[in-house]
Amino acid sequence: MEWYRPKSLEELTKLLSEDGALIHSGGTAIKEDRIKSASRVIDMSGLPLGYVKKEGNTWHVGATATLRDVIDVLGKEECFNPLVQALKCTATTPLRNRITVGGSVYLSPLWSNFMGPLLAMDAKLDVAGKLNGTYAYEEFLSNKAKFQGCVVTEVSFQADASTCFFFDRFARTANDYSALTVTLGLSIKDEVVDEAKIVVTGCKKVYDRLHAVEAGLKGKSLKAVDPERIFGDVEIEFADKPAGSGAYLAEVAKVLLARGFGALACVR
Amino acid sequence: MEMKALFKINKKAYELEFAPNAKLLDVLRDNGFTEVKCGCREGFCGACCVLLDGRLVNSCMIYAASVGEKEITTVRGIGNTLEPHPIQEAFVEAGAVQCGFCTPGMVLATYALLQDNPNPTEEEIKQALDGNFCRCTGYVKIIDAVKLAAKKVR
Repeated sequence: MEWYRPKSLEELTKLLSEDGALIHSGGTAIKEDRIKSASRVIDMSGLPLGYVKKEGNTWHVGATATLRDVIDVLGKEECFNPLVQALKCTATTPLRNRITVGGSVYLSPLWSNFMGPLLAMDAKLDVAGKLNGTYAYEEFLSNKAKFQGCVVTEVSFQADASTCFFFDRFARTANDYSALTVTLGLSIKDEVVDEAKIVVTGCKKVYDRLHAVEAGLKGKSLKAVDPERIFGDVEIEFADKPAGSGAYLAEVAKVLLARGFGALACVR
Repeated sequence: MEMKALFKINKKAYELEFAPNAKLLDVLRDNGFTEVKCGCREGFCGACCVLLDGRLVNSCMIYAASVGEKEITTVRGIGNTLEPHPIQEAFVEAGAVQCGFCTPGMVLATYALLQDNPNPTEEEIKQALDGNFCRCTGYVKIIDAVKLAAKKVR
């Protein structure tokens, strides 16, 4: 087995053109068996992708930036509080110092709390490999098999002060994996909802974007909406988990959504 | 087939041999750095914590081959029995050490916290030590020790 440490994206792309390479970024999600059976490991740590920077209205986060890097930089930006909150309750301090954004986005594991905020912010991914290009995160998640053998090199999203976000999660204890997360983003113009983005993760479909509720909120004043009613009819299916039965988690999700909507209405 | 690489550990360079799938924890312990404790091997307990370029990480979750030129600091690198670091003194004075197995990780977590934030609140201490488990003390004495260490370091 050989470890490769490319120094440029060109070098990375060339290495990816050969089949059978295992991609290593932070490495925390790679089991020893996978490393043992790999003939080639491509270690991303030599690439200049550890940045978290703003260009115009868009934030760019390199794939090898750690969760800690993102918290440190975006923690100073008010509009990213939900994303930072999501990352702060992901894993533990020593793991957040090692887990990379690229690896988390590519694998989108259960503990990756920031799937909801990234979907609600319409995040885009830069991908290297056979499908070289920029893709919506939602498209990536819906077609993960298609991106096999590719590497996420950057995550980007926009900050818009007119959009308020809410994030919350449900877990048995503070250090436990989230059983589910809810993220709401509301853009308000002239006192009415211009755009709503509502995402639930941890459900049977991995994530659920509540498009019907989003459409129903458009053009409405927040004061005219009863959160208990708009989320009361929502059907989200959850599998039974250690944190509770599927039916219980569905009820918890509705409560968190209603609570989030209430919180955003108060902020406005 | 074994790999060979240069590691910077506690400000000294070592050329070490290791298997391509070896974890940093095992490479350190196999080469005499037994102050790095092996607990859960799953990144939960924090007994194996070291500093990598000054940041607290679980050495059981890191492949040795991926460390590259980063500086590794174990608890012995910040102080020893003859010349203890104020944080190590604080842990003894506050009675925060019982079996001692989690202590290297706790001390390094405290070191990393105080480097960034010399005057942490209790909540910030709890957040910084959220990846370090103690099965003896119940954490009260440990949090006291971190507060005392913060005073000493300031």
